[in-house]
Amino acid sequence: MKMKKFKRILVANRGEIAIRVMKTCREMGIESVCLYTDEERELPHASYGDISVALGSGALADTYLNIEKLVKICQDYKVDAVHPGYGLLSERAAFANALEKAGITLIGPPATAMEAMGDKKRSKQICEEAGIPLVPGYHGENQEADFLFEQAKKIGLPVLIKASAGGGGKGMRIVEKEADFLDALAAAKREGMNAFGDDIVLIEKFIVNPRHIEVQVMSDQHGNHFHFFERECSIQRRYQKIVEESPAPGMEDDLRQAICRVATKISKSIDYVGAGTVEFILDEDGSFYFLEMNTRLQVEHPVTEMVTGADLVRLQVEVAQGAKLNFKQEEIEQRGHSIEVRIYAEDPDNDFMPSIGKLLFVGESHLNQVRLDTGYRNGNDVTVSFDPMLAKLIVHAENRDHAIDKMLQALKDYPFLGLTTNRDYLSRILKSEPYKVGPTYTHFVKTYKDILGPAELTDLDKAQILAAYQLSNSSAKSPASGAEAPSEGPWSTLSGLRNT
Amino acid sequence: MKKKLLLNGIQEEFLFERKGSSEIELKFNEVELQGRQVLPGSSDQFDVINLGGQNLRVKRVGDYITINGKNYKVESALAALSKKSGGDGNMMSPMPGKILKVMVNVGDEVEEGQGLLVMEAMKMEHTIKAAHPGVVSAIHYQEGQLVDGGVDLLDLDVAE
Repeated sequence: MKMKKFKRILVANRGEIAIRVMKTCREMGIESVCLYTDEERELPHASYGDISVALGSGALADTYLNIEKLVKICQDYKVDAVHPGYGLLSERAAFANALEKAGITLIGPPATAMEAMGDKKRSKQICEEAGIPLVPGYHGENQEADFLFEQAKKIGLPVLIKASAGGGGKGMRIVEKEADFLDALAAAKREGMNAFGDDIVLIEKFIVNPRHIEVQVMSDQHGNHFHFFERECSIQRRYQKIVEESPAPGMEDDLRQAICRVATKISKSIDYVGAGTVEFILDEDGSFYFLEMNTRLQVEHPVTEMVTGADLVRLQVEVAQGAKLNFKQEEIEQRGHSIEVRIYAEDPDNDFMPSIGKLLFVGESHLNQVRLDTGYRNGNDVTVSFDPMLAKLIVHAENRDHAIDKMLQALKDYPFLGLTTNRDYLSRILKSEPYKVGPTYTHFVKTYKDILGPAELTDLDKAQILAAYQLSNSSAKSPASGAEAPSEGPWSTLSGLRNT
Repeated sequence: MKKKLLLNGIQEEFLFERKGSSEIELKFNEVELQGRQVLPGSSDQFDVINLGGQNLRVKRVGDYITINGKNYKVESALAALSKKSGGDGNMMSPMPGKILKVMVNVGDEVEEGQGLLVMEAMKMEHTIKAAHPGVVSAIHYQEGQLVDGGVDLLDLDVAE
């Protein structure tokens, strides 16, 4: 195989992941092309690359999901390769095919692997044939409501209804009582149709105390398949992860080795290329079942980078250039402990309702081994147009206890002032006894709802807040924020003099 | 002097005196605090305020303030008054989105917490629930319609 050397990469994504990918491009001396819509001019990703290309405005289908437009941009700007990030076109075989036809390399798996794993039903059939354990369920073609209801009763409640083409918790429902089944089915189909244009669902046994364990895999084009160990992503709300870590707390090494071996068995069985993530459900008795494989870089990949020292984007680029991964499995090690939290614009104390507003102050941390991946800067508007994830905050320390302590401080260093976020809620999770002790299950947020609520403000708290407000400078007049400065506050008249 | 501020939307009253250019005294209920500004460390992004002997790391931008990592919204009572809108009996859309499903009819008696309609916003479904028991007196939107944030979706009369 001929080795290529990319000179210019288009990043077909936005926000924090676009910036993350472009950072590695910079490190590798590769030029990057970034994209932005009219609404995104102010966002950092719009100007992070060496070349910025406007996508205009309109629905996603006309901008980031417009394959024809993206291929044209690749040709106009003489791009060698495209990094799709996660979400958007990252798992669309049609995009992979269109790029191949135009002679442009996709930094990702071949379309065949995407197709095999992209459909949850098909991926399960493939794994079943390869002898990989699956959760009992119905993954068939018959989509009649009455028939699916019968299947659910046969599997035994509780069951999970999932959109076959889905991901990220959209089009997903748990049914505990027979009376709720048909409504839940209708809602799952409706969400599936809206989000993915496909309302086919599958039904599975619902495991009562599950842990979400996933394995990072990486394969080259020469038949070498590696894993970069596991991540624990059990803490979720609305079926989306909010706290992720590596290694999985309290996991016996035998189990770890077994899960990781199964993951590479899967990547081998489909001749996988590039970075992927194999997701499993781990039951309390130590049995684990294949859930799905994501054929792309994962949101939570930084915790793996922290403990293994690898730059997964660099490896993706090198694999796409045709390089042979020149190491042995035994040489990949997990060192210390890494935790990631996802900072969302949402109100955890009001059913995780997304919030919108102007981001006035992000903050910064000077702690060692703390990483913030964000797609926002001070003054940016957070709108309803995209997912409400503001940032990922990642820490690394020598063990889990130290990582928890470090994360609690890092969260203080990044206030994300100006709109309601889940920051304080994340602190409450990390401080809670069940989290510290572990293991954590996927229903953590629901189970510990009562101890995760906000603390009532005491009179001392209130007095401190009021006094601090009276004493603090408002930096609302800083040009980036654009917010109106309130006329009161003793130092507001001085704010022009201070370089805050 | 007496002063009123809204803390996270709730009005609080306190006594407040300025002592010199960078010191204050404050009394809230039974809590008395002496406070002063401290010069922050050179690389510190926060202002440092000493309250009753304790150093707090503070940053304020407009109505928003973070104190030792916790965020609050503080507004002058007057400014907040002018923003207030909407009666108690109205169910408002929390943000722009699309009405997916209307689950009640005009005239229906509903219980507190009962689902009234389903909205899609930020790609997720949200159920708008009754804030109190009552009778649905008007529904302003139909399934499939797009709505702005902060508009009345339906009116709920308080049950007798």
